[in-house]
Amino acid sequence: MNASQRIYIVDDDEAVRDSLGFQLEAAGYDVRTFSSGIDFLNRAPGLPPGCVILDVRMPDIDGLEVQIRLAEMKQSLPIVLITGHGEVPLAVRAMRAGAVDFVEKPFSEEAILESIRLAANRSVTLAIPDEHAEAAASRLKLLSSREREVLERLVAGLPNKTIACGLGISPRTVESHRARVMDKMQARSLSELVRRAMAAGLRPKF
Amino acid sequence: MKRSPRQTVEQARREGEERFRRVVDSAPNAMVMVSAAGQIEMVNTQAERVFGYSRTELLGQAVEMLVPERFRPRHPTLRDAFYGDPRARPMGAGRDLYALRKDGSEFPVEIGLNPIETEDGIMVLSAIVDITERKRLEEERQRAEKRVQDIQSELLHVSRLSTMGQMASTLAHELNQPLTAVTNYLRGLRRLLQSGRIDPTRAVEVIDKAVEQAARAGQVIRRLREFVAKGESDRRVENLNQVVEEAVGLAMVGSRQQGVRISVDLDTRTPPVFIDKVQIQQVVLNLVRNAVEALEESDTREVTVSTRSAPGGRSVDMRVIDTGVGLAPDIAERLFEPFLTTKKTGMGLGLSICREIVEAHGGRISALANEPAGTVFSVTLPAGHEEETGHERQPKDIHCR
Repeated sequence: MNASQRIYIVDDDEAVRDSLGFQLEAAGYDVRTFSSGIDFLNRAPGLPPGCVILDVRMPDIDGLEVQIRLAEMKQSLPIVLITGHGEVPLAVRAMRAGAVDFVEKPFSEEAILESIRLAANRSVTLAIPDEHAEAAASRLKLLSSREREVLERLVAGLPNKTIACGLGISPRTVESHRARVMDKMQARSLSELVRRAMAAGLRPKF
Repeated sequence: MKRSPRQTVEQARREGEERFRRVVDSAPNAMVMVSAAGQIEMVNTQAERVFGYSRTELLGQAVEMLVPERFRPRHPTLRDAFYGDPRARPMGAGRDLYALRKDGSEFPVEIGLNPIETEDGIMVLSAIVDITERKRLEEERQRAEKRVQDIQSELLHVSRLSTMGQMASTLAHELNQPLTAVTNYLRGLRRLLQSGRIDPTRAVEVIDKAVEQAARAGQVIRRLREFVAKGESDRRVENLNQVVEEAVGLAMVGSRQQGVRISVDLDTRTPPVFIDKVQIQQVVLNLVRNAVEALEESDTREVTVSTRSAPGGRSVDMRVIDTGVGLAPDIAERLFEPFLTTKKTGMGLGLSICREIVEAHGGRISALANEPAGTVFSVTLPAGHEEETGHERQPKDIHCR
């Protein structure tokens, strides 16, 4: 079994863990599940390379903490985060810390498989994703200054309402700026947008 | 020269009197000594200062000159009553006392009465304390206390409102889990069935697991219903107009930024309702926020919240009217079902919670099309008093759900 087919699921909710494992096995992956971050970290040193699917919201240590400790252990497994409603800011932070991607619950099969493929193409986790930096940078130049301001805050993980407040515009206007930013950056999802922006060297603004 | 015993007694008496005068004069309070006939026999310097009269203007006059006119007629009677039982005590226990200055102004006082035996019979020495400042401070303290209480109850109210919001968010998470599991199981199953790589026993196992998770989601909803129906329901007799006004005030926060005008049209003759204020405000808040969101794409951005008393005053109809895009027919039918949503973000729980709350109050909620555009949400609540609805309805609410 090659590394791109191996998946480690870390989720405290038994049903979500079991069902996701089943779904991914059905899709042809080799799956192992872990019921907590601690459990996974304890066994991580002996594990062969594979993609880690991490739930952000877990009771003992959360997904972000697992990610940090993995990095401290020099375990360079690619990580995909699963977030619940309203946890996108957390996920964006995780991406800046090196996570490959995140999917928001409830997610489509397509979305999770796409993220796993993306992770598999990454031999190691890097703080700056190896996206074509130049292409991303040239797309970044297409943004108006207001659009760039919105993007800097999106990358910081700020929700629309906070961005609106900070820039003194309505959430509706933020929404339309965001749509144009996605369009110009050719990003289909927020995670893709964050990845591109980081590749282009954009600094988050809080 | 040797003094005669009589001279000595006389001198001692004079010395005693002189010492008494000096003590009285240097007292920090205004002091007025009054004879049984009600004449002012002695005053101290502080009394001159407090009342604005000179000593000569006061001595020999009726003490009533220091009493505001409206209390004067009764004053001699009260004075006589003191002589009937002459002992040191405060004047007018429990009543507010006022004194009159030379310039005609009044001030609040506290007066201590002391019977003094003199050669000319028993006199009353009154010590008068101007309590204007003390009263002012007390009133200020009460006002401050009331303000603190108001703020506290407002905070409590807002925190109860946000607790419900938080509960909705927790519920959303708790629902997300089983729903995610159900879809995962079914997608995996479909894939395996399509490729023919699964035996029926295994397929049934997976289906059972999915069913179990669907039931888990159902349980979350049941918990929500219980919470709303009997949870921490705290019902009181309320004026619905006031409840609506407060909730609209909260909903207005940020609405102007979105260019939405919210107007309120209240019927002042609505009968009282017996409700949990926080829950009903949650409903109003939810409906108004929905209305504001429905206006995002509209040119005319108006929300009207109205109350009307039903004929006979048996119920109150509260309406939230928007000029938005309106409801698609297929949505309108299932509007109050859980998980139905037209929003990009949202679990579709808001209106189902609203329905739970309104029905737990013995009311009805419905939606209809507004002319020429938009939607009208109507909430009807029965008029009620504690005696009628409180005790009779509650058991029904709990058991009949």
